[in-house]
Amino acid sequence: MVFLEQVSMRYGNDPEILRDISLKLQPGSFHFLTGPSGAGKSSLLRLMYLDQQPSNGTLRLFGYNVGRLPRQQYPLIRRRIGVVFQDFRLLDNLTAFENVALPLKVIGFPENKIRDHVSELLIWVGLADYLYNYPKTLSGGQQQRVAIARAIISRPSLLLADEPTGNLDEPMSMRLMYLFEELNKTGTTVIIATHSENLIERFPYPQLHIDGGHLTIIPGKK
Amino acid sequence: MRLLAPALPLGHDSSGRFLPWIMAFMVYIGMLALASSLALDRLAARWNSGLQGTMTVMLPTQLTPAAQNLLREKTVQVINNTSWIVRSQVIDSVETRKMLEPWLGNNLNFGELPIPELIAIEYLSTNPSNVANLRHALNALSPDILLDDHQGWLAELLSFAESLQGLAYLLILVVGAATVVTVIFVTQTGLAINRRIVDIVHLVGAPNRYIARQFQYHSLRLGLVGGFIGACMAGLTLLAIEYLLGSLSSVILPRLTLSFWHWVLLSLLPLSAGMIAMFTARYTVLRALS
Ligand SMILES: Nc1ncnc2c1ncn2[C@@H]1O[C@H](COP(=O)(O)OP(=O)(O)OP(=O)(O)O)[C@@H](O)[C@H]1O
Ligand SMILES: [Mg+2]
Repeated sequence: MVFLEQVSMRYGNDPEILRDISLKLQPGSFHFLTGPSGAGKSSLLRLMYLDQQPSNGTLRLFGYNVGRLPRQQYPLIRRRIGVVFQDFRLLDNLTAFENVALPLKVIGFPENKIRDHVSELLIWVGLADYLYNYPKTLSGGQQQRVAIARAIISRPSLLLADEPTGNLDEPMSMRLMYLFEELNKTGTTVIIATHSENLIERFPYPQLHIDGGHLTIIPGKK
Repeated sequence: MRLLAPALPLGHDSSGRFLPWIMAFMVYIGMLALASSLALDRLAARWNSGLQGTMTVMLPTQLTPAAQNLLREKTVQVINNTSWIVRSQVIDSVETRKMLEPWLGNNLNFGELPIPELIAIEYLSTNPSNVANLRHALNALSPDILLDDHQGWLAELLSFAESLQGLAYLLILVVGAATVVTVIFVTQTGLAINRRIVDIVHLVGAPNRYIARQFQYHSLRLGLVGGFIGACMAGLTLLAIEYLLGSLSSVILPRLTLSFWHWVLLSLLPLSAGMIAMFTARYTVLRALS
């Protein structure tokens, strides 16, 4: 599913942020991604959704060696990945509804089906009254929920969520964690970057811990 | 139910605003050039095959009305005895006056001007020796009778029109190139302005084709709007020209009207302008993104 072998990464000519990371995630696994701020959590996720290239090593996704994959094939991989960006990256010119519909639209999903799916999911994340609001008119937490809905609308095989509950209150965080667990039960591999001790306490999944450019795996308590 | 808005807010920036006008100009020039070349083809075809030809006989003014009548009668007789002429019509001074009125005004005292009498001749087909024989027969009546077979000034008209046509085609090329360059510029600007959105759309799994499609339909729309404006202007211009020529040419020129299929051909031009805009935008996006 996700396979890294001796992967290093740097931005431009900066020093390496990630060094010699090796990792193998089984399909259907659930991991937290932890580490101090600036350790490289978002950067690792960026590698996985093909926004950055490793400076060294091999990255395999769904059995494809990403380094050897022509760029034209990227969409095929990205469609199987749902991403909640740390900074949301919603399109300001689209409503909440249209933002969530986007991943379905780009794969040519029929519009009438899009409609039902999207409304249902937005209602589920508590945005029933905000379907046609533009992101600029939504609170941080509301935008975050739109971003989450967009990441999972197409039922991805791999969910990469970067601080998905950072702006949410306790009950809403729990509700969304349950949503991720549900998704995980249907086979989605989940990686959630978080700083929240509380969350890790409540959901004792194993952690991928990055510090000083190195990755260690802390087993879950379950 | 509202339709899903396109991901890229194209058309909200001003870079594309002048594109339709450039398009309109190109289509306008293009349609006029095409129309004139179609009309010229028709004219040349008729003229070369000698079909439905016309000639004019010009009678010199005689000193007395009696002499005038005599010369006219003799001339008509010669014409009537010429087998390849299918129709002739004497255009007397009253009619000539009417024809000249728009040009000279009706205040002139025509009685004082030596206005020659004209006889219009129509024939289905002829050849140069027939024409020479006729000229010979007429000059036997009076050496001052002129037989104008219009060849001279038609040839001049044709070569003038042909050079105009060449100029028009050159203009189409230049304006067409300007259009392509403009579409490329507008598309690249659109890509740059919407860089962030393009990145996000990529990240949620859209192929370059999806992004190119948004630009190409935007461009097609601008192109068609411009094409439509240009086509309307050109249509009005052509109708005006037809109207003006129509009232003038019936006697001397074969009519220059465009056929149904010519109009169809002409209306393809704005569509192809839209197509050019579309494919240019598509190509530009795909090249920029790969
Ligand atoms: N686009 C970039 N260009 C250059 N350096 C970058 C870029 N993005 C991140 N960095 C650097 O890479 C390092 C890791 O950043 P990253 O965002 O991966 O950290 P993080 O673990 O996600 O931190 P946080 O918990 O605060 O989100 C930081 O030192 C940061 O300055
Ligand atoms: Mg981060």
